[in-house]
Amino acid sequence: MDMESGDLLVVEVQPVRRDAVMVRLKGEVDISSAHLLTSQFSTLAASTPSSVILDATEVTFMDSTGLHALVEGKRALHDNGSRIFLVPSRQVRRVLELVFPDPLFAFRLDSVDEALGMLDEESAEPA
Amino acid sequence: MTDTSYILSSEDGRLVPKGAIWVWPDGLRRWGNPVLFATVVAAYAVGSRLALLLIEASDLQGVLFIPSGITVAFLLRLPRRRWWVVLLGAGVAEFAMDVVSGFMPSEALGFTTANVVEPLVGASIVYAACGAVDLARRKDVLWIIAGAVIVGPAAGAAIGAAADRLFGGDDFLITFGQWWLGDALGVILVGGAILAWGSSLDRRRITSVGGLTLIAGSIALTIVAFGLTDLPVVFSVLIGVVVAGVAFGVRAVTTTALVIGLTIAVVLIFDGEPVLVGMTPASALVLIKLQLGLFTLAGLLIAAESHEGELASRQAARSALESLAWQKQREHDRELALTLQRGLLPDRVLTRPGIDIAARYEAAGEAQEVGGDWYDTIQLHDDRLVLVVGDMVGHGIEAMISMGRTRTALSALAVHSDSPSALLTELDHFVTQSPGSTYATIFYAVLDLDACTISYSSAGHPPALLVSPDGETRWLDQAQTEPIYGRPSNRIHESAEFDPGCCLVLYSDGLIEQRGQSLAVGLDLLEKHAVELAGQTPDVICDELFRRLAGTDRDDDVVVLVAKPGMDRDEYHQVFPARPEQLSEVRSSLRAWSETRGLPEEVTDDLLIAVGEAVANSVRHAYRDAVGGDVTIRITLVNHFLNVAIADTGKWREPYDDEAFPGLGTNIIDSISEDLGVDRSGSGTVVTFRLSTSAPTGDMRT
Repeated sequence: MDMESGDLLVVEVQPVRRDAVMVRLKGEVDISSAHLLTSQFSTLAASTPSSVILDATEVTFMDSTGLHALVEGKRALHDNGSRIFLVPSRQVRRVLELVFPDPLFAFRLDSVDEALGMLDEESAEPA
Repeated sequence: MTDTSYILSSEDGRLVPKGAIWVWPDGLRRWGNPVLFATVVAAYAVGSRLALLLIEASDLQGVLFIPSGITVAFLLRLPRRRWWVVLLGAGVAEFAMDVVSGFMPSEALGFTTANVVEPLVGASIVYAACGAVDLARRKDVLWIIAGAVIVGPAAGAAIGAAADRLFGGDDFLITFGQWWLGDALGVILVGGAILAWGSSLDRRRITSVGGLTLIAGSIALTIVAFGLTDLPVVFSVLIGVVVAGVAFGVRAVTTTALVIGLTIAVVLIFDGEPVLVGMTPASALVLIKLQLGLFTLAGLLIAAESHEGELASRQAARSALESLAWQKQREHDRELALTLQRGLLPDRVLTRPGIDIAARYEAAGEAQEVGGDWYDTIQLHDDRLVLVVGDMVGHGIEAMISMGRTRTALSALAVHSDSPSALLTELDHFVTQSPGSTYATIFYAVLDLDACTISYSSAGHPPALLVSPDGETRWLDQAQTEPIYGRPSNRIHESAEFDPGCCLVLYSDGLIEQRGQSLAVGLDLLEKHAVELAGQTPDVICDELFRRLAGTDRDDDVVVLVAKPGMDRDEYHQVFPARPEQLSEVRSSLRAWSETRGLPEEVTDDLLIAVGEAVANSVRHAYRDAVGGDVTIRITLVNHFLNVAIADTGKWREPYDDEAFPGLGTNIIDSISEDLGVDRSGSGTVVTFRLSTSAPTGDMRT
């Protein structure tokens, strides 16, 4: 668990379900905290989880640098075969919508529960 | 007056320019009586002997009687109580000379009487009219001519001629005429020369090269003219005397005249009788004497005239200087009063949430004295606040002091007074007990922002004006009582509603009392302009009321105080260091500001995003270029729009290549806001844009 940048942004990583990881973001993502996101994503990509749930419901602010980190992280995970579920806050959703009118994330969900539900459904189905 | 360039004349008590009086006359006064007596006797004897030489040489009587000039000049240079010494010396010398010359004692006594009476009469007349004589004064010259040249010698000549006739001399009239002319010429030439050295300094010294040339030229010309010709053109030499008067001054005139006179005398001594074509020697001599005397007097008058003219112009210059000094003193006093005024007026008005206040004081026009208008804003303990405007009757420093005292007392009493009327009653009490006279008008208002009420009382002050948000006006004139002047008075107060968005105008009479305009017209004008301006900020209202109502040429000072409840929530203005870690602070302060204005959270989000991108851009450049500097954020909320301006001190740079998406930040601002502008013309970059305060439409980039 990282606690950096004077609590501007807190990034928590915890395993959920089998082979799935939950990344919880709390705080604000700007030019002084976006690097936390970037480094976390590259670590995650190396461990190749099947799924990553990105809980951004407690992100109260995200600017273009945060968005950049998010997009880059998603690409790295995607390249390693991981799926990413994004649960954005109102603020994150607003920035995403402003910049990417077409949905960038295949799974942009309203809540973490919804994301977990989707994972459970998948594991219940035969592979 | 303490002008050190002037001294008190020891001769007659007049103030005279320093250096104008030569030390010689004072030196003469310091002589003891024996020395004075001996000097007079010796001078008289020598002069008399010279005159006798002249007479013997020309065989003509009364050529130039040098002693007459010596005696009268000495008298005029001494106080009257010492005249007897001079007269005694002259009498003794005359008598002795007469006896030596072979006159009978009785006859000598007659001549002696004549020569004593003559200077006494002449000097008495001049002294009575002029006091100490200054030949550079036209008046003094005229009195010398009248007394010492005409009357005195006439008296002497009458006595002398009578004595001469008594002892078998010539015809009375001839003797009288010769005596008179000779003595008069002696007074003019010799007396003039002596008196001149105690008079005001010449413009140019006769001892200068020009002066010496004039004297030498006069001598040469006189020798040539009188020695070689017998034509009346000889008198042209006398022009030198006039030149001396015009170009130099009285000393030059008398010196030149004496030199010419003596030269003529010497020439005559060698030449024998004066010869002029078609004249007897006696007539020629009379003509020469008359001409010399008249030219000399003319020269003296010219010199005195121009000297006085110069004095007058110097006097005028001095008065101009004094007037300038007075002007400067007046300006200094005004400046002092203004400084005092500024020191006594509050340097700022109260700032607190929920109300916006502005005040202005302007002194009267340049030529006017500083008045005693003032204002104050006071915070009471119970969250109410006081606005007060006052006007001390009177001007200048005294009014300032009175104002300072009253204002200080008022702010001290305000905190403990329950109501405006109670405060004014306390102030009446204070003024009654204070030293000095105070006569003041005051408008005192207590604002309760929670209850939205204003409570007011006026002590002889014009009523404040309240403009409601919908433009209705109301004069606060229901609590008018007499001015404060140190007597108990029955004070009253009234209340009115004071709703958010209304506009309260307090002022002093200078704003409504303009020259050639009735009070009613002034009040109407104020009402009209206040309604027009009511929507503006108090700062703008103050400035505009001043501009529109109080002309620059006003003859009274003016105070305006404007208060608008609920007007201070409109602007966000912050300056931050351009550093990344500051961004979070910017956002939290901006979020707080936006939330207290009740803006929708989506609007707050967008505001934070847009401002965040703009500030991040400034920070990025400042940070990466290591240039530091500040970022200034100014947001005004006007008519459902947020006008945002973000200024930094650095140069605008094209987006960096290593940025996430070059220009993404700017694109985000552009998609959120309207009217995005980037101004790089100043010393830094200013980014401006506008956001609607209604919830965003979800407008996306298309």
